[in-house]
Amino acid sequence: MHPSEFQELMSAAIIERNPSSISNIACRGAGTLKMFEAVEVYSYGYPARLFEALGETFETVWKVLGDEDFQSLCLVYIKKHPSKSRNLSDYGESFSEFIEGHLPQEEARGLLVDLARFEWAFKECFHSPYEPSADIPDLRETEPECLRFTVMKSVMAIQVEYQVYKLHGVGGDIGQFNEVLEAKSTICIALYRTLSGVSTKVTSQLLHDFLCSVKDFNFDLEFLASHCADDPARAQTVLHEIAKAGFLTRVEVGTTI
Amino acid sequence: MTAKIGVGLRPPHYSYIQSHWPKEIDHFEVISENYMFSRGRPVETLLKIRERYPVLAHGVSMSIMSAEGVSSDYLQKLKDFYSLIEPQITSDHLCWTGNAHSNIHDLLPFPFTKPFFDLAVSNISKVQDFLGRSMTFENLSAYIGFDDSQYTEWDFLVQVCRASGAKLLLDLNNIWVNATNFKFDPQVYIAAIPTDVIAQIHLGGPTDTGKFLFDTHSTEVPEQVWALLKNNSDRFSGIPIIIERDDEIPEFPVLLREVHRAREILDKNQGGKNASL
Repeated sequence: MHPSEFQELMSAAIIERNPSSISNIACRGAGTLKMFEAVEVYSYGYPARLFEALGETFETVWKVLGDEDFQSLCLVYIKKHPSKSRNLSDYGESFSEFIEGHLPQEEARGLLVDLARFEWAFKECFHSPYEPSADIPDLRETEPECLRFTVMKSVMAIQVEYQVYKLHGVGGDIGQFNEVLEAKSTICIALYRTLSGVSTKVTSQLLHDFLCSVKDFNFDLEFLASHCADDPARAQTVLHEIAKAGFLTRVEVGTTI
Repeated sequence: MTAKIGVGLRPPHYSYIQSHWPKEIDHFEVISENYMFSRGRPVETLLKIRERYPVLAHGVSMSIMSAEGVSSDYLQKLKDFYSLIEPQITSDHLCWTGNAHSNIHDLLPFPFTKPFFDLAVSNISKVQDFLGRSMTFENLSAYIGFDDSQYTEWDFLVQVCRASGAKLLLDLNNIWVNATNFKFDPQVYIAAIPTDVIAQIHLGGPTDTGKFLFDTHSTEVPEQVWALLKNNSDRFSGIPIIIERDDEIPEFPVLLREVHRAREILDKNQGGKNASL
């Protein structure tokens, strides 16, 4: 049998838990296992690994939902979303959208969707490089066209309806769940790498929109001005807030007056 | 030759290692995929450890036996990772892990047939050309055996290595698991592997389910595996060894005891040799 045909059949047998897919492959189980039991060893391992990956990334969603509900939700997700990446921690990118469509608890759904989005962003941030904030030079006598700014690569700006950062991680407490659920209001959060891990800051809507618009972590004053074309005074506010938050890793100054 | 012995680097041990810098460890082996996709905390910690110890890079997702070939995107990331940490040995498993539709994230077996032999040699050659280095591949634990295999497992491994220039990471636990599960003599397997093909050795422990041995790496190295090391210690002299534990990870000193035991076995053999000279 050609390797590609063999692998198609074996994959189907493992993922679909259907040993009959390999009925024309002459094989035997390890030890005293029957052939279908041997296939089960692999079939069992497949969702178990993906479940573990989801549990690691969405640990607070798991805590909030409890073992039974989280596991049921994951198993449906795993069935609908095969893993495409060789990196297990890439698995679950669409989990928050999936929660939105599949979670029965209507009253908590929005919060759990936000929490899942937050936890995905947290994971992405954790795997981003640490970069120290730049010392901002005195720019008062600098020609605006000479300035170029670099934003920290780890900054992840997300907008949520609930203060989900209060529930997550070492400082988080899911005991505050009801309190967070009741305090619904749009909030912008930026997650960023620190030397010891990941931190979060609440930002203005203005800074959030700007961070989402920056391409390749670089911008100049022309870009900033075009972003704030409706109200030029806002450019100053954005620059002040982004610098104060420590999200700039580099300020390049060209020719000065 | 003095035995070089280390353990698999696992996150629960980061703190112990960085506060003790254990002298008993000659090198650490890292799971490539735990670091190659990250530029964050995991890599920062690894680089600190790398400053003090040689590192061996061991992958689980190359899928070298995939009929679709090895992903070039994956290989580029792996190459970048190797450039970053400069590992002494670079390895993966002689297996496949899924297909284009889905990654099963498991080390999957295949029949030892001529089409798979050709596939192995072709894929390994392409990978080694791309990476610009020789690769080492580990023998697998398997729970399905294939009746149409044309080679024994050990013949297949040796011939693939000879034809591709790759080396073998000989996992003594996997040999014992397969020997028990498929009823062959593990010593026949080991004796058939020429020493010059072996680049590295793994020691680990499976779980006995009552029906078969399951390669969980969740237990201490069992006596049967120690016996394989002892009985072949003259042939394994100088080959780097790693104690592997992936589940139910104990405190680091428990692994150190296994490192001591491996060293004792190999040094005793070395001592015996010297005495007879």
